[in-house]
Amino acid sequence: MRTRRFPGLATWTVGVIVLGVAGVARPAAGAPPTTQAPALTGAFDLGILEVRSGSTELPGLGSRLAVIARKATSLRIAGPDDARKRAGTDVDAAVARCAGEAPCLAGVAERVGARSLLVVAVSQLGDVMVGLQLVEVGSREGAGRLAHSLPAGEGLDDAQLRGWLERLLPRNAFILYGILSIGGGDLDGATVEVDGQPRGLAPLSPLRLKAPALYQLRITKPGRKSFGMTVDLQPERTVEVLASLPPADPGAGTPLYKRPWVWAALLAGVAAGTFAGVRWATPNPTTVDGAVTVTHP
Amino acid sequence: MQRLKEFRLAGRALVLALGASACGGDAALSIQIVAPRMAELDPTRDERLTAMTLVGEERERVLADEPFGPGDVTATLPDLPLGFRGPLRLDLLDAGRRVLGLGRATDVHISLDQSAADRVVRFHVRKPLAYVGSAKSISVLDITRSRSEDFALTPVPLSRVTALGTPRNGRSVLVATDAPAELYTVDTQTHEVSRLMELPSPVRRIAVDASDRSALLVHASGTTLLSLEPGRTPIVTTGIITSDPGRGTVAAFARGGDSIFVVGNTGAAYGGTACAALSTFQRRSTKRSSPAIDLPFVVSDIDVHPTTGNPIVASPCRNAVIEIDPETGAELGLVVDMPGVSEVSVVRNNIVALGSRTGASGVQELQAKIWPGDTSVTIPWPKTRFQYRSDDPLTRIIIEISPWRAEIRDLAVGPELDRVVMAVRFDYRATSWCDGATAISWGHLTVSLTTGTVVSYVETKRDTVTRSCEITSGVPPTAEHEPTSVAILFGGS
Repeated sequence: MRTRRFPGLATWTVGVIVLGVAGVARPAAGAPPTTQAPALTGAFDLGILEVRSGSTELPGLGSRLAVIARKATSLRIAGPDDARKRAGTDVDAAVARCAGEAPCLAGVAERVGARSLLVVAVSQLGDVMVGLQLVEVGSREGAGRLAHSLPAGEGLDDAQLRGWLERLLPRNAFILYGILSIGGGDLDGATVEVDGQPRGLAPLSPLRLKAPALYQLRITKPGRKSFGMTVDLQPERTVEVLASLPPADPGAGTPLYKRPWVWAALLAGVAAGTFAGVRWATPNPTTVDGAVTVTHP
Repeated sequence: MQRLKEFRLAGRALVLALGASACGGDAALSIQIVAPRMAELDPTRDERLTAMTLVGEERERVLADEPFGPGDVTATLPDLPLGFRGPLRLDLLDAGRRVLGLGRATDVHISLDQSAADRVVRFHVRKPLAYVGSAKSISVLDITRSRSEDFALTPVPLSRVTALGTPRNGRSVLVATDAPAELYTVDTQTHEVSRLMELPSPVRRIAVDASDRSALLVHASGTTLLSLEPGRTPIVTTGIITSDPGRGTVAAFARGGDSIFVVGNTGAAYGGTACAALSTFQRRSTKRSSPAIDLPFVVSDIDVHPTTGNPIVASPCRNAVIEIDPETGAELGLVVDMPGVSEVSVVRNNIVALGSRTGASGVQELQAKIWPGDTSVTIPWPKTRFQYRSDDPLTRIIIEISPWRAEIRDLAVGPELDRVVMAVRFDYRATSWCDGATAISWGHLTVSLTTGTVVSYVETKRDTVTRSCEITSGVPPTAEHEPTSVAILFGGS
């Protein structure tokens, strides 16, 4: 257990255990890493397959798009390798035979176990032509298509590929989430606020929040010191906060004039004034203060 | 236990109070920040402002660094060193230490042995604004911002602009127009325009000497030297200096401002290579100080070496910025070795060389190198998008094309060596697609040399032959005009 201080809140002795906070985040037990492909037994949101015609340019483009889509979206992605494992090694040939016909490609997507299919076509006629076609299984129709040409030998960076996905896939696919789990021995009945919004009384089920983002977590309970911290929540990660709320300051409510530090502060003020006066009268200063004023003529 | 804690607190308060009084100096130097009246020109009201620094400019020595927020009208800069002499610069900074505004004061002496009036130091602060001139108006850009923020300010309504120049005092911007050829000033406090005089012929570039006493107007085949007296109409002191003959004349003041280097490309052969002629003039004389010197290469730009004071010229054919001996024309050395270099600019004792070249991937890109050091930046020029016309709303065949030719018409480098603003023309051609559609795009481009990215490209004019495609990138400008000139304010003094 680590003990930390949180300035701005009266929590001098709050004990906190944080697992996987910003920079040192590690997934909680059981949480999948972000780039790992999902198990083949479940359905996929999007399958990605690649077909080529007379070009060896941009090798592994479909797999790169799958990696980027897994990082950038909340969709369950079946990349070309996943698709072949699930639907057989002839799945690429099946896509080629479809010749871009949406109902046919929807059938391939069903074989893969995906609700939609993104076909990446690479061809070459002088310049390299890349075409992307998105097909929905439900409607058995195309949902989008774009093409891009580039000189042979020129690469494509990840930002460009992500840009293509953003133009083809629905906007809400790019909303990512992380999990904020709050625990602690003496939290029962405590009010949990995230970014000032009450989220209920502890114990709470883990909160699914948009990520990446910084959240202000505050936990309060009558008779206890409040707890607060900033949580850096990363996509597909779980941050587990273990908070303890020690009893509130027993000295609270003592009048100011009965507190020794108030009198000491007054004494300090008098001493400082005397010191400054003496210093003012001292000859040969080495520095001077600049008094700045702003004017608008 | 609780008592003990409170006594500890009391002790800490006592120490802090004594320490604070011990650090304080004598409030005796008055620093006035004179800021523009117009809110959008005033850096002291910029909502991003967090701090101010006072810097001794000769050695970049920071004398004070204190918090200062938007709308603050007073502050204290403690512990300024008594006895300091020299030029001072006051920088207004945001949280990321970007300079939002700056002002200068020359020949400052921090001393208590002066009258109260002499202890007042005034800084006329200005934002580092870029002015982009065109036939339509002067666009005003806040180069500290990105395109998504309040990047463009209210334009200055002065049309037919051919050249811009910024005196070092930052109080005004000099503007040359054609049809008729005239010279104007724009007050940087209010952006009010004043006509100064009629000019003998259209001007392509303006340079102002370091003391703001003279302005050099570069015409197509020569230069005019003006005497600038504060509050008076400029006087033509030398008429047109021709440089025998001078196509594509470029010129620069020597460091002290008393000599002027003029280079014109003669078009004559010199050992089989087209060459240029370098002339040196004295500021107070119409005669050349020595015969014109042939240079065995074409020159596209000129400035003055910040250390040696010799002219440095950009030569696209020699792929270098070369230092020249003004007496003999001898090459003193390659200052920057860079294929395709066409522009050279000296900013704060740094030499910035820029040009367009063909990159490794076969597309045209901007390259910049900064001397001293090995800083080299490559930035792809903006692409344009052609889209095949189609009745099918789901079919979007889009071709992205880089320009096959890029022309920098004028540029200015910002005071922090980060942002560069350029007046540009790009030529696009879809060779394999769209039945050979073409487009020519004019506009002003802002790039960041720090991040190596395009901050903004504002297209102001477009000519297209789209054939089976249409252009999808950008918004076609409503009132078309070609940017001609760029200048950036370096604060006031």
